[in-house]
Amino acid sequence: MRVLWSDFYITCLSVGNKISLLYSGQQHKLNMRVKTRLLHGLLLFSVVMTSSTFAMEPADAARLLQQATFGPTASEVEKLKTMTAEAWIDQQLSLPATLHRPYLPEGDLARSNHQRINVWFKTALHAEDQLRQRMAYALSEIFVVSQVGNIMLRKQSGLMYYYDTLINGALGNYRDLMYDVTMHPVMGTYLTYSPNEAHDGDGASEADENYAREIMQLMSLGPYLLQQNGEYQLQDGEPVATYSQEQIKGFAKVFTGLCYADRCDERFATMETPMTANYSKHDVSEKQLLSTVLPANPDSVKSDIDAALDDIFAHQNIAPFVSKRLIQLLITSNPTPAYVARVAAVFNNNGKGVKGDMAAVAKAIFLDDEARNGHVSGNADNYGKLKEPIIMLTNYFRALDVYPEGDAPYYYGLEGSIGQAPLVANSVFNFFRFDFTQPGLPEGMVSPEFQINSEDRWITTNNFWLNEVRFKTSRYDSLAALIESYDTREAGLNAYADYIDLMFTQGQMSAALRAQVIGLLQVTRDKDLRADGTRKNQFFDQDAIGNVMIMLFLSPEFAIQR
Amino acid sequence: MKDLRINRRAFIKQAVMGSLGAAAYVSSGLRMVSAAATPGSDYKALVCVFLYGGNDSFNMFTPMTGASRQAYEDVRGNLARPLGLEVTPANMTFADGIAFDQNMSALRTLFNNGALAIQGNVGPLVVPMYNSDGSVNSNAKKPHGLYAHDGSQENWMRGADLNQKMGGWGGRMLDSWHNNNAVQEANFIRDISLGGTNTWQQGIRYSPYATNSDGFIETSFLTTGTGLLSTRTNAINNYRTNFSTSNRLQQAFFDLYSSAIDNNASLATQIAAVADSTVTYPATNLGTQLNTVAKLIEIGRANGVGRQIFFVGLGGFDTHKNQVNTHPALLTTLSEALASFYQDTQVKGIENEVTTFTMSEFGRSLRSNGDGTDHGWAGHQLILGGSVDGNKIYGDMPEQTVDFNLIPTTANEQMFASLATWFGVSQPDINELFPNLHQFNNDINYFRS
Repeated sequence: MRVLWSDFYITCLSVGNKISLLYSGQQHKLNMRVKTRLLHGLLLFSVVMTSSTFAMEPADAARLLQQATFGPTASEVEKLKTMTAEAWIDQQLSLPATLHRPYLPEGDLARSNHQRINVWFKTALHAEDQLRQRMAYALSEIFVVSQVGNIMLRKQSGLMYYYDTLINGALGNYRDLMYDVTMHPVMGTYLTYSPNEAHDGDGASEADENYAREIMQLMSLGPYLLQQNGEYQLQDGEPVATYSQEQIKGFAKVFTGLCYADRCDERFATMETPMTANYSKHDVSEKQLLSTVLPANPDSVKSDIDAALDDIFAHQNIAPFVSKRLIQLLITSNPTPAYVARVAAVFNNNGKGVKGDMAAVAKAIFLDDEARNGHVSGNADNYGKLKEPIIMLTNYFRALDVYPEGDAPYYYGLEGSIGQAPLVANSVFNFFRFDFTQPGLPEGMVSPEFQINSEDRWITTNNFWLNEVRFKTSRYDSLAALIESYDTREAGLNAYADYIDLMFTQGQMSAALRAQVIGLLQVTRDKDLRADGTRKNQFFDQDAIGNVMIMLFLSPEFAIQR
Repeated sequence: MKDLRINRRAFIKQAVMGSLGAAAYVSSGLRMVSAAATPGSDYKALVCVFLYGGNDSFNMFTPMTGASRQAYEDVRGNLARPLGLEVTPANMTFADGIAFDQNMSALRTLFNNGALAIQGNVGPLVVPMYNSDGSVNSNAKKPHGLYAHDGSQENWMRGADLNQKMGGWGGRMLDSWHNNNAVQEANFIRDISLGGTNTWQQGIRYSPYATNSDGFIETSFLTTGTGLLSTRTNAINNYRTNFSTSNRLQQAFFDLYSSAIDNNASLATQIAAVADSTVTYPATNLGTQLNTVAKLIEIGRANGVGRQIFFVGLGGFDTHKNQVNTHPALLTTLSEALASFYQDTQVKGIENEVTTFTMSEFGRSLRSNGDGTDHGWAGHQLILGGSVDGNKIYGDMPEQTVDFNLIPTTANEQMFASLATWFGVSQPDINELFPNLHQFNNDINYFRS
């Protein structure tokens, strides 16, 4: 949308950082840097737009890309200079999904872990539908399955198929995604309800409660009743449980009678098609759910599952729970309750009366004022999140185009190196818990990603970064032109530092860090100069960038996305 | 070795508490035992072994014969364990016998020798769940988070219900010790985790240092590199000196960074100087963690650190599936690692100064779900050490029948109170540490007087 000054008149409703504009009859809240001065008695405004309604400054573009993609690239930042954030998001939402499984030949099943991770990187680094891919990755940390701890390590193509379910569902409806995940053979295996036979009446055993509990606790509602702003609903000062053990048992009975489509044996199942239902193995007794009791002898297994998922989907918690999780995974660990409430409202109603529209939710998350301007708001001291190690890695690869032209790295045991790889969490509780608080933070603040950044893990990860830059600096080909053009002039060093700042710290690099970055570049440049002032072209690009990367990787400024 | 993290954290905490009104946590001012006088004297260490996932601890102790064995096999079905290794506790008799699992022979030996005690049927409680006539009080308030992994883990680590106390009971215990002990305060080695981040060790004023099972890691990113890559060391140091931020997450990350670099370097030097143990530990991660704990105890004693707490972890206990194969193997790992550690303390003559105990978020449902078990509530825990009044079962060892409801008869805060008392917390302060303890008798004592 192109906005012309003549299109609107300004009504200044508040003085300070925020101004509300009355524009075309509608009120738009815009965040602007406003400078005023008095000239001949007239109050003049000069307005620098940082709002989502206007084309973006490079640093703002890079911030959006850090949040909504696997990291900014020079070309995407360039593109966003002529687009609004909303137009960019709309374009992203319209792109077809890039899936993982098609990278393997059809019928080629149990590929090894390093091939699956390679395909993940190919997609993360190069797929056009970056926003969808980033959402899918966030959802993989809500609908958690993992190759750790059971047979899934040997079912890598099944894991790819699971990830594709998340990619396909990432911008669809949350209720549909809940169904697709529930019927997925990988989830069935991971949370042990495939097979899960009816035990009604045998007295000796009970339905497996694993999935029944975790789909509610971790994937939709959370253990305590929430207000729409994500805060607990308190009763006599205490949180109130969302569900009882009896209700878990009710749901456990729902998830019985499912097994793999080809053969009901996890060792031989392909895990590439949804599970199928066997009514004779389904628990047909009455089931106590959250807001309803399913009568005995249902029409079908599917009717039971649909009724159970509807029961969960109708619960008041799902909008604030899912909204807050996604905000925490994408934007900031400690969103204000108002931000959660704004996104939850869109989850509840996308404007057309539809609940659970994830494209609308994504848009609400990324376009919210707190996403776009939280780093310069009154809440800036609490704002941001620790980047996940794998996001640091993709950030690095994309910013320096370390793997150009569709290429991607192979890793063996990346989780051992950086504590993380896609679908390799230690448990259904993900790599980290959303209520984890790093020591030293004020009471009430959380810092989930710090949980996989203990001191030992931090050291191990930095050792990994060192190897990355030692053995991959020769890949910084795309920077060669940049290096040449900047030459050895001071302006060149500054321009180089500006580029690093834009891509890795989104224009927020401190003077302290910038001084060291420039210093490292200078030392290397000086070594590269012959006495007569000509260059040897031996050191500058590789070692200089290598050193700068190490500096960056261990700096709080790169680590904390703001 | 300077501990930057502590200084920084202490400063932040004061600032934060001033602004958020959390001062109550500090001003409650626990009265702690007097400080250690000289290095090595009055030394004690508590070692927490956390069994992640919820240990099916009812399957660690099983009846031998008769109606009890029959009831056990009926309720357990395909998950019933074969006959175990019988023991005769000094304080309790079992008509149908009671046995350690057959995979736990090493711990059974320690039980028989009096170094190991069992706390039976313990779990998080805020009030007693049973009426005086033995019936369940269905109106009794239950703790938050029951049956869920995260909520139940927090209940164990905090020694309190949700939102009742900040931090964990181990860390809070150390906080009060610090109040009287300058040596301890200055040394991060008082509070070390080899089993990852955890709440148990988190104090109000001070935080644990987390390292890997070896205790330290090579920091090649600081030292390695040829040619110009090596020039970054000065830049890193300059950056550390000049860094400042008002963003709390950046500051927390900076503290982590400083703690990692400085404390890791300190540990690398100190651990390298400790002679290897003469005891052979099992080649498991738990064995390695406990081997390192033994070295850190030597370092702590040599430095005059009067009290230390350690956290080690063993995962894999969430046996919804394939329990028949996985759980017995875990019991072997646990048993052999604990026995080696105890033997090591004996060799060093410090077995009376070290107490090791297990925590696990919950016991598991007795009934099979076909191939495994689901989340429960009460479970059994182990307490091991030279000071322990062992060969005894504290609390209850209920019969495993279809009617048993997995409701704890001992509150875990009662268990913790005995451990904290041994550690040196004065009796008036015990109720301060454990907010629900006043609802229960405080008469459990695992230790020889």
